[in-house]
Amino acid sequence: MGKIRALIANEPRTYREVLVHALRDLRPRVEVDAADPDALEDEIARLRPHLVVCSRGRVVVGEGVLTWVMLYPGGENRAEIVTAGGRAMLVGLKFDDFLSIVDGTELLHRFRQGEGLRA
Amino acid sequence: MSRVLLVDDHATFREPLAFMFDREPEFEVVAQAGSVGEASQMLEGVDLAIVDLDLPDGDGTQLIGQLRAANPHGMVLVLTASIEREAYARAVEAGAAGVLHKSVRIKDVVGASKRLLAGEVILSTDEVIELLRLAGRQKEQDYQARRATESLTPRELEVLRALADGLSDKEISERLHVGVGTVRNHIVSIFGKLGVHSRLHALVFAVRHGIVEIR
Repeated sequence: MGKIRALIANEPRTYREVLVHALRDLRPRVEVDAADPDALEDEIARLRPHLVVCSRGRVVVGEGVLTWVMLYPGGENRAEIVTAGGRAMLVGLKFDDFLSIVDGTELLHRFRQGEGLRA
Repeated sequence: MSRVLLVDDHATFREPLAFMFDREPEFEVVAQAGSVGEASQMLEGVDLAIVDLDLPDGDGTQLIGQLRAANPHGMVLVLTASIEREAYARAVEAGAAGVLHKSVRIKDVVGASKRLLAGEVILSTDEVIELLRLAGRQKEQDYQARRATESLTPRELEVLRALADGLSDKEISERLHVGVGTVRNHIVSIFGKLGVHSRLHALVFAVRHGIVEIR
């Protein structure tokens, strides 16, 4: 099974960088890349991530993206999580919640790969 | 090891930031808070507080004086998404040791924290002087605005609120049971006292200084 790929493209940069560093440490099995928000569409096409984190723009699940997290849009303390199965709005998202979203995306990927029943 | 307090209501930023600081041998994150109220209870023994300004229950600037009172050696590094120089000026005037925008590299936040705790400065003298001058100008403007506001008569305040409600001169005259000419006289007087030249400018002044609220 291949690793899942996460593309972190939210703003401001400190937010993006702490997520990248923490994910690489705490979820070493996830391939993590950072992108400038203005280059998001190009980076999605190039890296084909399973998880995308951004703070503005268009949310599109499909073409390999399993989960999309719109984190703190406009600086508001909320996150919109969109998966192929639905959409949820969370206020005051904790980092543990975020890690659960990452883990959920990995699980979804494994099911898609046909490995879910063996997990 | 320096004791660090992180104050930011965005937990998905604050918590991994704490994780990063804890990996540095110089730091121990002893507390985290998401509001001014929470942080106020956590200042004892803190060497460095990294504080956001835009908190749900107030301005993080409030914490600067509180930290200095709890620990005279304690320092505050402001980490904000605001681009308003006036906000930076207020923070420096209150005693912040540094102000960083959240668009900086995270290694610069860690680096600035290390430099502060090593006794270095991260704001140049010129920057501090410029920010303090700005804070002074802002205070003077606030003072003048307060005086102008206090000089308005109760009737002029009513006219201003009616303007904010979008009423025409005729509608204001009907609401206040006065002639249209009297309303216009009040408006001219309001312009003179507030130092403005249009109704829109008067409304902007009134909203900015809390005379009226736009619903």
